[in-house]
Amino acid sequence: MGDAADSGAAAGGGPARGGKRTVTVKVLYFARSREVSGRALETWRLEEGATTKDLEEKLVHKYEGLKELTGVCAWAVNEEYVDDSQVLADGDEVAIIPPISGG
Amino acid sequence: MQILRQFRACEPSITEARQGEEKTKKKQIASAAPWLRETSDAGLSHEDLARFARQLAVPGFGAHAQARVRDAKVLVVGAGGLGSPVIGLLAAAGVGRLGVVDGDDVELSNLHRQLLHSEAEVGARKAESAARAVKRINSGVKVDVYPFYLSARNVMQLVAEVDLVIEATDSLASKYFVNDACRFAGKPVILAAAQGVEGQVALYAPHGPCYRCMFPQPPPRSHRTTCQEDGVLGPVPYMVGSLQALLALQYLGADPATRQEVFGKFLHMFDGAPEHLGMRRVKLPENRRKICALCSPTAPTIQSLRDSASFANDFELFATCNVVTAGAVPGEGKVATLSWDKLQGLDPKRVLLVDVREARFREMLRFEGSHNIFVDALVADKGEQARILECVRKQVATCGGRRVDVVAFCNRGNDSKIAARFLDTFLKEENCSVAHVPGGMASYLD
Repeated sequence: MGDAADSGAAAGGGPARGGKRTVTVKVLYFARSREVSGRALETWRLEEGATTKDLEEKLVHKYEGLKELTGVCAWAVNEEYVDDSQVLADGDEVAIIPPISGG
Repeated sequence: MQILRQFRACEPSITEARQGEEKTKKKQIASAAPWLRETSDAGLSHEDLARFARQLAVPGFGAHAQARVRDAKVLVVGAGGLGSPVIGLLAAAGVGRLGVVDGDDVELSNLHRQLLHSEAEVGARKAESAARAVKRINSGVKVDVYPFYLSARNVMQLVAEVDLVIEATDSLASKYFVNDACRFAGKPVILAAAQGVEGQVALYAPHGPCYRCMFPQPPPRSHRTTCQEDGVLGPVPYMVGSLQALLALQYLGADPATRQEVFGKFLHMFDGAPEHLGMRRVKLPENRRKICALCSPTAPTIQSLRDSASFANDFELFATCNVVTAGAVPGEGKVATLSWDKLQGLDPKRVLLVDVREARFREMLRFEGSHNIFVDALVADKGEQARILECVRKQVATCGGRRVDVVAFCNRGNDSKIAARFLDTFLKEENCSVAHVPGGMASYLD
Protein backbone atom coordinates (compact mmCIF):
# COMPACT_ATOMS: atom_id res chain seq x y z
CA MET A 1 0.00 0.00 0.00
CA GLY A 2 1.15 3.50 -0.75
CA ASP A 3 0.86 6.11 1.88
CA ALA A 4 1.35 9.79 2.35
CA ALA A 5 4.71 10.51 3.84
CA ASP A 6 4.48 13.12 6.53
CA SER A 7 7.11 15.50 5.36
CA GLY A 8 8.70 16.62 2.14
CA ALA A 9 11.92 15.07 3.45
CA ALA A 10 10.61 11.51 3.07
CA ALA A 11 13.05 8.85 1.91
CA GLY A 12 13.32 8.12 -1.78
CA GLY A 13 13.09 4.75 -3.54
CA GLY A 14 13.85 1.84 -1.29
CA PRO A 15 12.34 -1.17 0.42
CA ALA A 16 8.94 -0.54 1.97
CA ARG A 17 7.61 -2.26 5.07
CA GLY A 18 6.52 -5.34 3.13
CA GLY A 19 9.97 -5.67 1.52
CA LYS A 20 8.57 -4.36 -1.77
CA ARG A 21 10.39 -1.52 -3.45
CA THR A 22 8.72 1.86 -3.39
CA VAL A 23 8.95 5.19 -5.14
CA THR A 24 8.38 8.59 -3.60
CA VAL A 25 6.57 11.27 -5.58
CA LYS A 26 5.71 14.87 -4.88
CA VAL A 27 2.04 15.64 -5.50
CA LEU A 28 1.01 19.22 -6.31
CA TYR A 29 -2.65 20.11 -5.85
CA PHE A 30 -4.23 22.96 -7.79
CA ALA A 31 -7.53 24.84 -7.66
CA ARG A 32 -10.41 22.69 -6.41
CA SER A 33 -8.15 19.73 -5.58
CA ARG A 34 -6.18 22.09 -3.31
CA GLU A 35 -9.39 23.20 -1.60
CA VAL A 36 -10.61 19.65 -1.11
CA SER A 37 -7.31 18.25 0.16
CA GLY A 38 -6.54 21.37 2.15
CA ARG A 39 -2.94 21.36 0.93
CA ALA A 40 -0.87 22.48 -2.02
CA LEU A 41 1.86 19.88 -1.79
CA GLU A 42 2.24 16.40 -0.38
CA THR A 43 4.77 13.62 -0.59
CA TRP A 44 3.46 10.15 -1.38
CA ARG A 45 5.20 6.80 -1.19
CA LEU A 46 3.92 4.26 -3.72
CA GLU A 47 4.72 0.74 -4.75
CA GLU A 48 7.15 0.55 -7.61
CA GLY A 49 5.27 0.39 -10.91
CA ALA A 50 2.31 2.43 -9.63
CA THR A 51 0.55 4.49 -12.28
CA THR A 52 -1.17 7.86 -12.10
CA LYS A 53 -4.44 5.91 -11.94
CA ASP A 54 -3.18 4.02 -8.88
CA LEU A 55 -2.19 7.29 -7.25
CA GLU A 56 -5.60 8.76 -8.03
CA GLU A 57 -7.30 5.86 -6.26
CA LYS A 58 -5.18 6.43 -3.18
CA LEU A 59 -5.86 10.15 -3.20
CA VAL A 60 -9.60 9.59 -3.47
CA HIS A 61 -9.36 7.12 -0.60
CA LYS A 62 -7.70 9.75 1.58
CA TYR A 63 -9.70 12.77 0.39
CA GLU A 64 -13.24 11.70 -0.30
CA GLY A 65 -14.08 15.01 -1.96
CA LEU A 66 -11.62 14.28 -4.76
CA LYS A 67 -13.91 11.54 -6.00
CA GLU A 68 -15.96 14.06 -7.92
CA LEU A 69 -12.85 15.19 -9.74
CA THR A 70 -12.04 11.70 -11.00
CA GLY A 71 -11.76 11.85 -14.76
CA VAL A 72 -12.08 15.62 -14.64
CA CYS A 73 -8.52 16.72 -13.83
CA ALA A 74 -5.57 16.92 -16.15
CA TRP A 75 -2.48 15.15 -14.80
CA ALA A 76 1.06 16.26 -15.39
CA VAL A 77 4.26 14.49 -14.44
CA ASN A 78 7.39 16.63 -14.38
CA GLU A 79 5.51 19.42 -16.12
CA GLU A 80 4.32 17.24 -18.96
CA TYR A 81 0.74 16.14 -19.60
CA VAL A 82 0.24 12.39 -19.07
CA ASP A 83 -2.64 9.96 -19.27
CA ASP A 84 -3.71 7.71 -16.40
CA SER A 85 -1.48 4.79 -17.35
CA GLN A 86 1.73 6.72 -16.76
CA VAL A 87 4.08 4.73 -14.52
CA LEU A 88 5.50 6.93 -11.79
CA ALA A 89 9.19 7.00 -11.05
CA ASP A 90 11.01 7.93 -7.89
CA GLY A 91 11.27 11.70 -7.50
CA ASP A 92 8.50 12.49 -9.98
CA GLU A 93 6.53 15.65 -9.47
CA VAL A 94 2.86 14.97 -10.13
CA ALA A 95 0.43 17.86 -10.68
CA ILE A 96 -3.33 17.53 -10.43
CA ILE A 97 -5.00 20.22 -12.50
CA PRO A 98 -8.77 20.63 -12.46
CA PRO A 99 -10.27 22.91 -15.09
CA ILE A 100 -11.25 26.23 -13.56
CA SER A 101 -13.97 28.64 -14.50
CA GLY A 102 -14.18 32.26 -13.50
CA GLY A 103 -12.68 35.37 -14.94
CA MET B 1 8.02 66.47 0.94
CA GLN B 2 10.42 69.19 -0.02
CA ILE B 3 11.67 67.11 -2.92
CA LEU B 4 8.15 66.37 -4.10
CA ARG B 5 7.33 70.07 -4.15
CA GLN B 6 10.44 70.79 -6.13
CA PHE B 7 9.56 68.06 -8.59
CA ARG B 8 6.07 69.44 -9.04
CA ALA B 9 7.51 72.86 -9.57
CA CYS B 10 9.58 71.40 -12.40
CA GLU B 11 6.63 69.81 -14.16
CA PRO B 12 5.44 72.74 -16.28
CA SER B 13 8.89 73.32 -17.62
CA ILE B 14 9.25 69.61 -18.56
CA THR B 15 5.98 69.77 -20.50
CA GLU B 16 7.00 72.96 -22.19
CA ALA B 17 10.32 71.44 -23.13
CA ARG B 18 8.57 68.42 -24.67
CA GLN B 19 6.26 70.58 -26.71
CA GLY B 20 9.22 72.55 -27.94
CA GLU B 21 11.01 69.35 -28.90
CA GLU B 22 8.05 68.13 -30.94
CA LYS B 23 7.75 71.39 -32.79
CA THR B 24 11.41 71.19 -33.75
CA LYS B 25 10.98 67.61 -34.99
CA LYS B 26 8.03 68.49 -37.19
CA LYS B 27 9.97 71.39 -38.62
CA GLN B 28 12.88 69.11 -39.46
CA ILE B 29 10.64 66.68 -41.35
CA ALA B 30 8.93 69.49 -43.24
CA SER B 31 12.20 71.02 -44.27
CA ALA B 32 14.02 67.75 -45.07
CA ALA B 33 15.85 67.64 -48.36
CA PRO B 34 13.48 66.83 -51.25
CA TRP B 35 15.74 64.00 -52.42
CA LEU B 36 15.15 62.09 -49.13
CA ARG B 37 12.54 59.50 -50.15
CA GLU B 38 11.31 57.44 -47.19
CA THR B 39 10.16 53.83 -47.37
CA SER B 40 8.63 51.62 -44.64
CA ASP B 41 8.86 48.00 -45.79
CA ALA B 42 6.07 47.06 -43.42
CA GLY B 43 3.95 50.02 -44.45
CA LEU B 44 3.96 51.70 -41.05
CA SER B 45 2.99 55.35 -40.78
CA HIS B 46 4.88 57.99 -38.85
CA GLU B 47 2.16 57.83 -36.23
CA ASP B 48 2.58 54.05 -35.98
CA LEU B 49 6.32 54.50 -35.48
CA ALA B 50 5.73 56.97 -32.67
CA ARG B 51 2.83 55.23 -30.96
CA PHE B 52 4.33 51.74 -31.05
CA ALA B 53 7.99 52.77 -30.66
CA ARG B 54 8.48 50.79 -27.48
CA GLN B 55 7.04 47.53 -28.79
CA LEU B 56 8.71 47.92 -32.19
CA ALA B 57 12.01 48.08 -30.33
CA VAL B 58 11.47 44.66 -28.69
CA PRO B 59 13.83 42.13 -30.29
CA GLY B 60 11.76 39.58 -32.18
CA PHE B 61 8.83 41.97 -32.46
CA GLY B 62 9.64 44.47 -35.17
CA ALA B 63 8.00 46.34 -37.98
CA HIS B 64 6.66 43.27 -39.76
CA ALA B 65 5.15 41.89 -36.56
CA GLN B 66 3.48 45.24 -35.97
CA ALA B 67 2.08 45.24 -39.49
CA ARG B 68 0.67 41.72 -38.99
CA VAL B 69 -0.92 42.84 -35.71
CA ARG B 70 -2.36 45.88 -37.46
CA ASP B 71 -3.91 43.69 -40.17
CA ALA B 72 -5.28 41.13 -37.69
CA LYS B 73 -8.87 40.53 -36.68
CA VAL B 74 -9.46 39.18 -33.21
CA LEU B 75 -12.69 38.09 -31.55
CA VAL B 76 -12.75 38.50 -27.77
CA VAL B 77 -15.52 36.59 -26.01
CA GLY B 78 -16.18 38.24 -22.67
CA ALA B 79 -15.45 41.87 -21.73
CA GLY B 80 -15.09 41.35 -18.00
CA GLY B 81 -12.23 40.40 -15.67
CA LEU B 82 -10.11 38.67 -18.29
CA GLY B 83 -11.55 40.67 -21.16
CA SER B 84 -10.51 43.99 -19.60
CA PRO B 85 -6.76 43.41 -19.88
CA VAL B 86 -7.15 41.47 -23.14
CA ILE B 87 -9.20 44.12 -24.92
CA GLY B 88 -7.32 47.06 -23.40
CA LEU B 89 -3.87 45.70 -24.20
CA LEU B 90 -4.74 44.51 -27.72
CA ALA B 91 -6.32 47.86 -28.56
CA ALA B 92 -3.30 49.69 -27.18
CA ALA B 93 -0.96 47.43 -29.16
CA GLY B 94 -2.71 48.27 -32.41
CA VAL B 95 -4.71 45.17 -33.34
CA GLY B 96 -6.59 46.32 -36.43
CA ARG B 97 -10.02 44.95 -35.72
CA LEU B 98 -11.49 43.75 -32.43
CA GLY B 99 -14.81 41.97 -32.05
CA VAL B 100 -16.20 42.17 -28.52
CA VAL B 101 -18.89 39.69 -27.48
CA ASP B 102 -20.66 40.06 -24.14
CA GLY B 103 -24.36 39.84 -23.30
CA ASP B 104 -23.96 41.19 -19.78
CA ASP B 105 -24.45 44.68 -18.44
CA VAL B 106 -21.80 46.37 -16.31
CA GLU B 107 -22.52 45.74 -12.63
CA LEU B 108 -21.13 47.35 -9.52
CA SER B 109 -19.65 44.00 -8.50
CA ASN B 110 -17.56 43.98 -11.71
CA LEU B 111 -15.62 47.12 -10.92
CA HIS B 112 -13.10 45.65 -8.49
CA ARG B 113 -11.43 43.81 -11.36
CA GLN B 114 -12.83 45.00 -14.69
CA LEU B 115 -10.86 48.18 -15.26
CA LEU B 116 -12.22 48.69 -18.77
CA HIS B 117 -15.47 49.80 -17.15
CA SER B 118 -16.13 52.60 -14.69
CA GLU B 119 -18.81 53.69 -12.24
CA ALA B 120 -20.40 55.80 -14.96
CA GLU B 121 -20.91 52.66 -17.07
CA VAL B 122 -22.83 50.63 -14.46
CA GLY B 123 -26.00 49.46 -16.17
CA ALA B 124 -24.55 49.91 -19.69
CA ARG B 125 -24.03 47.01 -22.08
CA LYS B 126 -20.62 45.61 -21.33
CA ALA B 127 -19.68 45.17 -24.97
CA GLU B 128 -20.55 48.79 -25.70
CA SER B 129 -18.73 50.08 -22.62
CA ALA B 130 -15.67 48.08 -23.73
CA ALA B 131 -15.90 49.55 -27.23
CA ARG B 132 -15.93 53.06 -25.78
CA ALA B 133 -12.85 52.19 -23.73
CA VAL B 134 -11.10 50.93 -26.87
CA LYS B 135 -11.82 54.19 -28.65
CA ARG B 136 -10.39 56.14 -25.72
CA ILE B 137 -7.22 54.06 -25.78
CA ASN B 138 -6.67 53.84 -29.54
CA SER B 139 -9.18 55.48 -31.85
CA GLY B 140 -7.61 53.75 -34.84
CA VAL B 141 -8.91 50.31 -33.82
CA LYS B 142 -12.09 49.15 -35.53
CA VAL B 143 -14.47 47.61 -33.01
CA ASP B 144 -17.34 45.27 -33.75
CA VAL B 145 -19.77 45.27 -30.84
CA TYR B 146 -21.77 42.12 -30.17
CA PRO B 147 -23.88 42.82 -27.06
CA PHE B 148 -25.28 39.30 -26.78
CA TYR B 149 -24.23 35.80 -25.73
CA LEU B 150 -22.75 33.36 -28.16
CA SER B 151 -25.04 30.63 -29.34
CA ALA B 152 -24.89 27.87 -31.89
CA ARG B 153 -26.81 30.20 -34.20
CA ASN B 154 -24.26 33.01 -34.27
CA VAL B 155 -20.90 31.63 -33.20
CA MET B 156 -19.68 30.13 -36.47
CA GLN B 157 -20.18 33.34 -38.41
CA LEU B 158 -18.33 35.42 -35.83
CA VAL B 159 -15.46 32.97 -35.56
CA ALA B 160 -15.11 32.54 -39.32
CA GLU B 161 -14.31 36.23 -39.82
CA VAL B 162 -11.30 36.44 -37.51
CA ASP B 163 -7.68 35.26 -37.33
CA LEU B 164 -7.73 34.48 -33.62
CA VAL B 165 -10.36 33.94 -30.93
CA ILE B 166 -9.83 34.78 -27.27
CA GLU B 167 -12.15 33.18 -24.76
CA ALA B 168 -12.26 35.46 -21.72
CA THR B 169 -15.56 34.75 -20.00
CA ASP B 170 -16.09 33.49 -16.46
CA SER B 171 -18.09 30.52 -17.69
CA LEU B 172 -16.76 27.02 -18.05
CA ALA B 173 -19.62 26.19 -20.41
CA SER B 174 -18.47 29.00 -22.67
CA LYS B 175 -14.92 27.65 -22.67
CA TYR B 176 -16.04 24.27 -23.95
CA PHE B 177 -18.43 25.88 -26.41
CA VAL B 178 -15.91 28.34 -27.87
CA ASN B 179 -13.31 25.58 -28.01
CA ASP B 180 -15.69 23.45 -30.05
CA ALA B 181 -16.64 26.28 -32.39
CA CYS B 182 -12.98 27.15 -33.03
CA ARG B 183 -12.16 23.53 -33.69
CA PHE B 184 -14.98 23.25 -36.24
CA ALA B 185 -13.85 26.50 -37.87
CA GLY B 186 -10.15 25.59 -37.78
CA LYS B 187 -9.26 28.72 -35.79
CA PRO B 188 -6.72 29.12 -32.98
CA VAL B 189 -8.17 30.04 -29.60
CA ILE B 190 -6.61 31.34 -26.40
CA LEU B 191 -8.65 30.08 -23.46
CA ALA B 192 -8.21 31.28 -19.91
CA ALA B 193 -9.83 31.20 -16.50
CA ALA B 194 -9.14 32.89 -13.19
CA GLN B 195 -10.60 31.88 -9.89
CA GLY B 196 -9.64 32.69 -6.35
CA VAL B 197 -5.93 33.34 -6.67
CA GLU B 198 -5.27 30.85 -9.48
CA GLY B 199 -5.41 31.08 -13.23
CA GLN B 200 -4.95 28.96 -16.35
CA VAL B 201 -4.21 30.01 -19.89
CA ALA B 202 -3.36 28.17 -23.10
CA LEU B 203 -3.36 28.73 -26.81
CA TYR B 204 -4.95 25.82 -28.63
CA ALA B 205 -3.90 25.76 -32.27
CA PRO B 206 -5.96 23.97 -34.93
CA HIS B 207 -3.28 21.37 -35.57
CA GLY B 208 -2.77 20.42 -31.92
CA PRO B 209 -4.75 19.23 -28.93
CA CYS B 210 -7.81 21.21 -27.84
CA TYR B 211 -9.29 22.23 -24.48
CA ARG B 212 -11.39 19.06 -24.46
CA CYS B 213 -8.27 16.96 -25.06
CA MET B 214 -6.89 18.42 -21.82
CA PHE B 215 -10.15 18.40 -19.88
CA PRO B 216 -12.34 15.75 -21.51
CA GLN B 217 -14.99 15.85 -18.84
CA PRO B 218 -16.44 18.98 -17.24
CA PRO B 219 -16.57 18.93 -13.45
CA PRO B 220 -19.78 17.83 -11.74
CA ARG B 221 -22.26 20.41 -10.52
CA SER B 222 -20.94 20.68 -6.98
CA HIS B 223 -17.52 21.69 -8.29
CA ARG B 224 -18.79 24.12 -10.85
CA THR B 225 -18.64 27.62 -9.63
CA THR B 226 -18.61 31.06 -11.15
CA CYS B 227 -16.76 33.97 -9.67
CA GLN B 228 -19.99 35.23 -8.15
CA GLU B 229 -19.83 32.40 -5.67
CA ASP B 230 -16.15 31.60 -5.50
CA GLY B 231 -14.62 35.00 -5.61
CA VAL B 232 -11.53 36.23 -7.36
CA LEU B 233 -8.94 38.84 -6.44
CA GLY B 234 -8.80 41.48 -9.15
CA PRO B 235 -5.10 41.17 -10.01
CA VAL B 236 -5.51 37.45 -10.81
CA PRO B 237 -7.66 37.84 -13.94
CA TYR B 238 -5.40 40.76 -14.82
CA MET B 239 -2.34 38.49 -14.68
CA VAL B 240 -4.05 35.81 -16.70
CA GLY B 241 -5.74 38.18 -19.15
CA SER B 242 -2.42 39.94 -19.68
CA LEU B 243 -0.89 36.58 -20.55
CA GLN B 244 -3.68 36.00 -23.05
CA ALA B 245 -2.90 39.36 -24.62
CA LEU B 246 0.82 38.57 -24.65
CA LEU B 247 0.25 35.22 -26.36
CA ALA B 248 -2.12 36.90 -28.82
CA LEU B 249 0.38 39.61 -29.79
CA GLN B 250 3.21 37.13 -30.18
CA TYR B 251 1.05 34.74 -32.18
CA LEU B 252 -0.34 37.42 -34.47
CA GLY B 253 3.06 39.08 -34.84
CA ALA B 254 4.85 35.83 -35.71
CA ASP B 255 5.61 34.75 -39.23
CA PRO B 256 2.69 32.44 -40.09
CA ALA B 257 5.15 29.84 -41.37
CA THR B 258 6.76 29.44 -37.95
CA ARG B 259 3.70 29.72 -35.71
CA GLN B 260 3.09 26.00 -35.62
CA GLU B 261 6.56 25.36 -34.18
CA VAL B 262 6.17 27.77 -31.30
CA PHE B 263 2.54 28.07 -30.23
CA GLY B 264 -0.01 25.69 -28.78
CA LYS B 265 2.55 23.74 -26.77
CA PHE B 266 1.81 24.61 -23.14
CA LEU B 267 -0.85 25.15 -20.53
CA HIS B 268 0.30 28.00 -18.29
CA MET B 269 -0.82 28.13 -14.69
CA PHE B 270 -0.64 31.10 -12.39
CA ASP B 271 -0.60 30.42 -8.67
CA GLY B 272 -1.21 33.53 -6.62
CA ALA B 273 -1.12 31.96 -3.15
CA PRO B 274 1.46 34.03 -1.26
CA GLU B 275 3.59 31.02 -0.37
CA HIS B 276 3.58 29.66 -3.95
CA LEU B 277 3.39 32.87 -5.99
CA GLY B 278 4.54 32.15 -9.50
CA MET B 279 3.92 30.50 -12.84
CA ARG B 280 4.09 26.87 -13.86
CA ARG B 281 3.60 25.32 -17.22
CA VAL B 282 2.56 21.92 -18.44
CA LYS B 283 3.55 20.58 -21.81
CA LEU B 284 0.46 19.67 -23.80
CA PRO B 285 0.34 16.35 -25.64
CA GLU B 286 1.89 16.51 -29.12
CA ASN B 287 -1.28 15.47 -30.90
CA ARG B 288 -5.00 15.56 -30.56
CA ARG B 289 -6.13 12.89 -28.16
CA LYS B 290 -8.00 9.80 -29.28
CA ILE B 291 -10.29 9.93 -26.24
CA CYS B 292 -11.40 13.50 -27.02
CA ALA B 293 -15.12 13.75 -27.75
CA LEU B 294 -14.29 16.32 -30.40
CA CYS B 295 -10.92 15.29 -31.86
CA SER B 296 -11.22 11.50 -31.83
CA PRO B 297 -10.42 10.40 -35.38
CA THR B 298 -12.71 7.40 -35.18
CA ALA B 299 -15.71 8.22 -33.03
CA PRO B 300 -16.15 11.88 -32.13
CA THR B 301 -19.32 12.16 -30.06
CA ILE B 302 -19.57 15.88 -30.69
CA GLN B 303 -20.13 16.46 -34.38
CA SER B 304 -21.94 19.78 -34.49
CA LEU B 305 -22.86 22.76 -32.37
CA ARG B 306 -26.44 22.17 -31.52
CA ASP B 307 -28.69 25.12 -31.41
CA SER B 308 -29.10 26.88 -28.11
CA ALA B 309 -30.40 30.20 -26.93
CA SER B 310 -27.72 31.22 -24.52
CA PHE B 311 -24.68 29.83 -22.78
CA ALA B 312 -24.33 32.42 -20.08
CA ASN B 313 -23.35 30.37 -17.04
CA ASP B 314 -26.08 27.93 -17.90
CA PHE B 315 -24.82 24.49 -17.09
CA GLU B 316 -28.08 22.69 -17.43
CA LEU B 317 -28.30 23.85 -20.99
CA PHE B 318 -24.65 23.08 -21.47
CA ALA B 319 -25.06 19.57 -20.14
CA THR B 320 -27.86 18.71 -22.51
CA CYS B 321 -26.47 20.58 -25.45
CA ASN B 322 -22.81 20.02 -25.75
CA VAL B 323 -21.56 17.27 -23.52
CA VAL B 324 -22.89 13.86 -24.18
CA THR B 325 -21.38 12.31 -21.07
CA ALA B 326 -22.27 15.01 -18.55
CA GLY B 327 -24.33 13.87 -15.58
CA ALA B 328 -27.83 15.19 -15.09
CA VAL B 329 -28.45 17.87 -12.51
CA PRO B 330 -29.81 16.12 -9.41
CA GLY B 331 -33.53 16.40 -8.73
CA GLU B 332 -35.81 17.25 -11.62
CA GLY B 333 -39.29 18.68 -11.63
CA LYS B 334 -40.91 22.00 -10.87
CA VAL B 335 -40.23 23.95 -7.73
CA ALA B 336 -42.47 26.61 -6.23
CA THR B 337 -40.95 30.09 -6.16
CA LEU B 338 -41.44 33.03 -3.83
CA SER B 339 -40.08 36.51 -4.38
CA TRP B 340 -38.58 38.63 -1.59
CA ASP B 341 -41.55 40.99 -1.93
CA LYS B 342 -44.07 38.19 -1.40
CA LEU B 343 -41.98 36.78 1.45
CA GLN B 344 -42.21 40.07 3.31
CA GLY B 345 -46.00 39.82 3.27
CA LEU B 346 -46.06 36.42 5.01
CA ASP B 347 -46.72 35.78 8.70
CA PRO B 348 -43.21 35.47 10.18
CA LYS B 349 -44.36 32.82 12.64
CA ARG B 350 -45.29 30.54 9.76
CA VAL B 351 -42.08 30.93 7.75
CA LEU B 352 -38.94 28.86 8.06
CA LEU B 353 -36.24 30.59 6.11
CA VAL B 354 -33.50 28.16 5.02
CA ASP B 355 -30.15 29.72 4.12
CA VAL B 356 -28.35 27.16 1.92
CA ARG B 357 -25.26 29.27 1.24
CA GLU B 358 -21.79 28.37 2.43
CA ALA B 359 -21.08 29.73 5.91
CA ARG B 360 -18.59 32.37 4.70
CA PHE B 361 -21.35 34.21 2.86
CA ARG B 362 -23.28 34.65 6.08
CA GLU B 363 -20.40 36.71 7.44
CA MET B 364 -21.33 39.36 4.88
CA LEU B 365 -25.07 39.52 5.43
CA ARG B 366 -27.54 37.15 7.02
CA PHE B 367 -31.09 37.02 8.30
CA GLU B 368 -31.63 36.44 11.97
CA GLY B 369 -33.57 33.29 12.82
CA SER B 370 -32.84 31.49 9.54
CA HIS B 371 -32.01 27.79 9.50
CA ASN B 372 -28.49 27.60 8.06
CA ILE B 373 -27.36 24.60 6.09
CA PHE B 374 -25.12 24.41 3.01
CA VAL B 375 -26.96 22.79 0.12
CA ASP B 376 -24.42 19.95 -0.30
CA ALA B 377 -24.81 18.95 3.36
CA LEU B 378 -28.58 19.23 3.18
CA VAL B 379 -28.73 16.84 0.25
CA ALA B 380 -26.15 14.36 1.57
CA ASP B 381 -25.93 14.53 5.36
CA LYS B 382 -28.47 12.41 7.29
CA GLY B 383 -27.79 14.27 10.54
CA GLU B 384 -28.48 17.62 8.89
CA GLN B 385 -31.66 16.24 7.36
CA ALA B 386 -32.87 15.11 10.79
CA ARG B 387 -32.05 18.56 12.15
CA ILE B 388 -34.15 20.40 9.57
CA LEU B 389 -37.02 17.95 9.99
CA GLU B 390 -37.04 18.65 13.70
CA CYS B 391 -36.89 22.37 12.99
CA VAL B 392 -39.91 22.22 10.66
CA ARG B 393 -41.95 20.20 13.17
CA LYS B 394 -41.08 22.65 15.95
CA GLN B 395 -42.20 25.55 13.78
CA VAL B 396 -45.50 23.83 12.96
CA ALA B 397 -46.05 23.21 16.68
CA THR B 398 -45.26 26.84 17.62
CA CYS B 399 -47.86 28.20 15.26
CA GLY B 400 -50.56 25.89 16.54
CA GLY B 401 -50.34 23.17 13.93
CA ARG B 402 -50.91 25.47 10.99
CA ARG B 403 -49.15 25.03 7.67
CA VAL B 404 -45.60 26.43 7.51
CA ASP B 405 -43.76 27.88 4.50
CA VAL B 406 -40.26 26.49 4.13
CA VAL B 407 -38.36 28.97 1.95
CA ALA B 408 -34.84 28.24 0.72
CA PHE B 409 -32.52 30.92 -0.58
CA CYS B 410 -28.89 31.11 -1.72
CA ASN B 411 -26.63 33.55 -3.55
CA ARG B 412 -28.22 33.46 -6.97
CA GLY B 413 -31.11 31.02 -6.89
CA ASN B 414 -29.42 27.92 -8.31
CA ASP B 415 -28.53 26.06 -5.13
CA SER B 416 -31.82 27.04 -3.48
CA LYS B 417 -33.66 25.42 -6.37
CA ILE B 418 -31.80 22.19 -5.75
CA ALA B 419 -32.41 22.49 -2.01
CA ALA B 420 -36.12 23.13 -2.55
CA ARG B 421 -36.42 20.15 -4.90
CA PHE B 422 -34.88 17.98 -2.24
CA LEU B 423 -36.94 19.43 0.61
CA ASP B 424 -40.16 19.12 -1.37
CA THR B 425 -39.71 15.37 -1.44
CA PHE B 426 -38.07 15.04 1.95
CA LEU B 427 -40.80 17.00 3.78
CA LYS B 428 -43.79 15.73 1.83
CA GLU B 429 -45.34 14.11 4.93
CA GLU B 430 -45.00 17.32 6.93
CA ASN B 431 -47.50 20.14 7.26
CA CYS B 432 -45.53 22.56 5.11
CA SER B 433 -45.05 24.00 1.63
CA VAL B 434 -41.60 24.34 0.11
CA ALA B 435 -40.45 27.17 -2.14
CA HIS B 436 -37.21 28.92 -3.09
CA VAL B 437 -36.34 32.53 -3.86
CA PRO B 438 -35.28 33.01 -7.50
CA GLY B 439 -32.27 35.28 -7.82
CA GLY B 440 -31.29 34.71 -4.18
CA MET B 441 -29.27 37.32 -2.31
CA ALA B 442 -28.25 38.93 -5.60
CA SER B 443 -31.84 39.95 -6.24
CA TYR B 444 -32.31 40.96 -2.60
CA LEU B 445 -29.40 43.40 -2.85
CA ASP B 446 -30.35 44.63 -6.28
